[in-house]
Amino acid sequence: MNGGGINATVGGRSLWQNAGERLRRNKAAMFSLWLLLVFVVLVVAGPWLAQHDYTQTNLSLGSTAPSLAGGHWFGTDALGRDVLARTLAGGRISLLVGLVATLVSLLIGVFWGAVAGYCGGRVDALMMRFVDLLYAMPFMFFVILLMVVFGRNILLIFVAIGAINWLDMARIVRGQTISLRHREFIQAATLMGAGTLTIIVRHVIPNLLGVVVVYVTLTIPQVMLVESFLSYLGLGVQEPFTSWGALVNQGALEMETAPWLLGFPALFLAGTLFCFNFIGDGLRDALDVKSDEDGW
Amino acid sequence: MSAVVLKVADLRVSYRRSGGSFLALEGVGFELIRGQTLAVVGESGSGKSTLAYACAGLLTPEQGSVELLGRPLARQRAKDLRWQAQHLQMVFQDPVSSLNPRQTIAKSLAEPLLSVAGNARPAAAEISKRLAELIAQVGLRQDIANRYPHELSGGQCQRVAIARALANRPEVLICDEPVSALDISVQAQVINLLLELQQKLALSILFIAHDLGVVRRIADQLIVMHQGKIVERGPARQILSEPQHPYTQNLLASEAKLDFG
Amino acid sequence: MSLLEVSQLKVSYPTRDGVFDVVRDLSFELDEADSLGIAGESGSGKSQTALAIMGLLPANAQVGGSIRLDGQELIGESERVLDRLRGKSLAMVFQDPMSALNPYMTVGRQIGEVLELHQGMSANEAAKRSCELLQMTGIDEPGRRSKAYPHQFSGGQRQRILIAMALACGPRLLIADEPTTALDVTVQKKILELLRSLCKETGTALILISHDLAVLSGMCRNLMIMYGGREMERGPSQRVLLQPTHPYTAALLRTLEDLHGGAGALAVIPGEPPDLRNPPGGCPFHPRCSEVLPHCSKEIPRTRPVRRIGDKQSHWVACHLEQEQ
Repeated sequence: MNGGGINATVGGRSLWQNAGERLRRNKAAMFSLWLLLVFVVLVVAGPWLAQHDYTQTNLSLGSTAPSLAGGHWFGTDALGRDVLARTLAGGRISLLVGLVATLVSLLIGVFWGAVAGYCGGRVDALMMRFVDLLYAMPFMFFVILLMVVFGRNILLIFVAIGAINWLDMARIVRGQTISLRHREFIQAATLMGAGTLTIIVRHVIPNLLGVVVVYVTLTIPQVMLVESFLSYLGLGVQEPFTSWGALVNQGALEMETAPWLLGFPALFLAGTLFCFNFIGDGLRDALDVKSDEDGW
Repeated sequence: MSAVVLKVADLRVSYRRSGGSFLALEGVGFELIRGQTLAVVGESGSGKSTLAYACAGLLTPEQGSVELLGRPLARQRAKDLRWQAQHLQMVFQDPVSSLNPRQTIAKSLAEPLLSVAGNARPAAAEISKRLAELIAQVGLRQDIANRYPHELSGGQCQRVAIARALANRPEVLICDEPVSALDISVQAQVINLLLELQQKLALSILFIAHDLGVVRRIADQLIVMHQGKIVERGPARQILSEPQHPYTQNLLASEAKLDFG
Repeated sequence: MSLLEVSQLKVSYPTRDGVFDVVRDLSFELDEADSLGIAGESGSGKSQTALAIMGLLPANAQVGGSIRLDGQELIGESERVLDRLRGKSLAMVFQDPMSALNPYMTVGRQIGEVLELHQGMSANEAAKRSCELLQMTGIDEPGRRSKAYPHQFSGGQRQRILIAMALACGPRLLIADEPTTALDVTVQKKILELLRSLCKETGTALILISHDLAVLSGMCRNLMIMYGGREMERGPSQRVLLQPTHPYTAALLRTLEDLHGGAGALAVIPGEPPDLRNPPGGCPFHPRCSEVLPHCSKEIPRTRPVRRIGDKQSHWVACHLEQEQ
């Protein structure tokens, strides 16, 4: 039962296909999608693309300005490390943090919110009070505590950010689920003898995906910003690893003497954040069924 | 087997509202006879939809009982749910939101067949044969199977919802204002379809409506509700021609009729 | 000169599948203090027509043709001029009375605001006048009730308040779009009677829009039947109801009469209302018409007068059958 675009009259077009088409007509979102793809390819292929290893120091070449001829396109830092290689390596960590933390929050949040919203009553109250409890914990304090106890570890950053972000996801999903729960097709499914789990998996979650997808594209940049912030405070990734946040932090210290140290990583970070935000906005418009029928 | 398929006694339902509770139903009882249509008519706030949901077991009454084919409704165990699913189904007011927007019509229609079967999953060929039967039964074209609800008109969606309700050949069909969201020319089609299916399948129908116009053609027995209580009941023809209760009289007199000037 | 002259009205919306029309070639006139009922199913274009007259169509709508009020062309008129007209000469009552009222403002204030804005009344005068208006629309104890908020009224009362607000500045034309659809039947009749008597008293012309021909019959002197964005038939109510000329009108009337009596299967109009994105060629009703002719699917029938012997009534129909005879 696939509804291809060509035999649309026979195959039927799902809401996803319609949304995909609307997204394709959104120039800002499509441009962002392509740009993001370029970033991802660059960052993933970084070790092969860059002529230098991002950890390799060369004190004789400390703080050289960007030049094509010198082989250091983005220049070098005070220790003579290639900024291009470091930017690409940092991007890997930044994007990874964004993706993994968002994935964690997605899995926990959607399940938690959908169960709480669909079951309602005491189950809902209990589950959501737990969420409130976690909300009340001061995030920074939580992270610093983890750092102190377990030492600085990149895994901890994933855990810390993911553990906080699923709370928002759970709240959003729960709200959506409650409004879905009283829709007739859910009632009809109940009457057909479908169990709670079946209904959540088959009827509730597919209808939540629109909201979730939009939220995810807006969460990834948010998570990346949090990581940058942590790194900026010196609580993030540790040498020899680096991230865009950490690079921006170091670059800011030498802004006046070597602006390229700040400029290039900041450009990549800002570009990625912009892309995700435009894609998120585009998706939100594309998934909004009403947008096609303005006025009636 | 007894001729009564659905027996409701002394039903009481109230909703918590800000500033006290609101009594939606009180002391409501009736019997639905096999093969007949019992229409429940009332305006907004009369409790007619609450009654439909209580009869389907979608909400639990504070007091009173609902018996389906001599068995009290129980919705705790999966086995009871499946049993009920095979004997009682419901058609809702809003045809478009009755169908999962992310599923094709074929998927929506196959769902009751699969969920009642439990672990004994029927063969794919068997399912597609039954799907074709169901689609034909409600007067739709077969190519509708691969479509999505948003590609169909309201009337077509309501036909699909009826087909889905009838998939497991239930005895009792609860229709909660099934035509009030449809255009008049389509209303007549859906009512005709229900009449035809009732004859063919010996269905017993509980038909909820907010006005008397639609009910006239389909009801054998009639209940008029006002503010959560039954104010008048009896054979439909008799009530429509000689209403006894002042509220019923008012309802009949208020009906918009063609005025040739 | 008529109060309202609509000619060749066309409303369309551009979408990704191309531009599609929701109202096409619509022409009619309405005299001072006259009444017109517009009947049509969903997608017939009846509400779009109302919004076009009021100048309230969404920004992406494309409007063509001409709408003249007292000879003044409304299409293409500036928003400022339309705003002034909407208060003074044109008024509208909507289907959902709750969403048309501001929930955070007392109803007296809401009516008063209209009066201050358009009539230049002082706050005191406006308060007094709004009580009178509430009284006129049948709200008991208007002095006390005017200090209440919309949610403290029932649906029927809210619709009365909206009618009071619409008539506040003595408009020349009132458009009521499905004013009773959201209300219970027992309330519907009273609201309709109120509308009719108030319009008669104040000499306001009325356009009443409904999906239900039964609601319109007996309310309006003239009737227009719309289908698929086009006018099918128009004429004096009695003539349209007793001698329907268009097959659609006739079929609709049969269905309605059948709903109110008779036995066995109901008379139906087969098929589905037209898909506006993909409208049938020719007459929009031809796929469902029982008396369809070969050229119905190719040619759009012109609206022409129904001629009977010794007949001076203005009864119009858009059907190829009428041309054959």
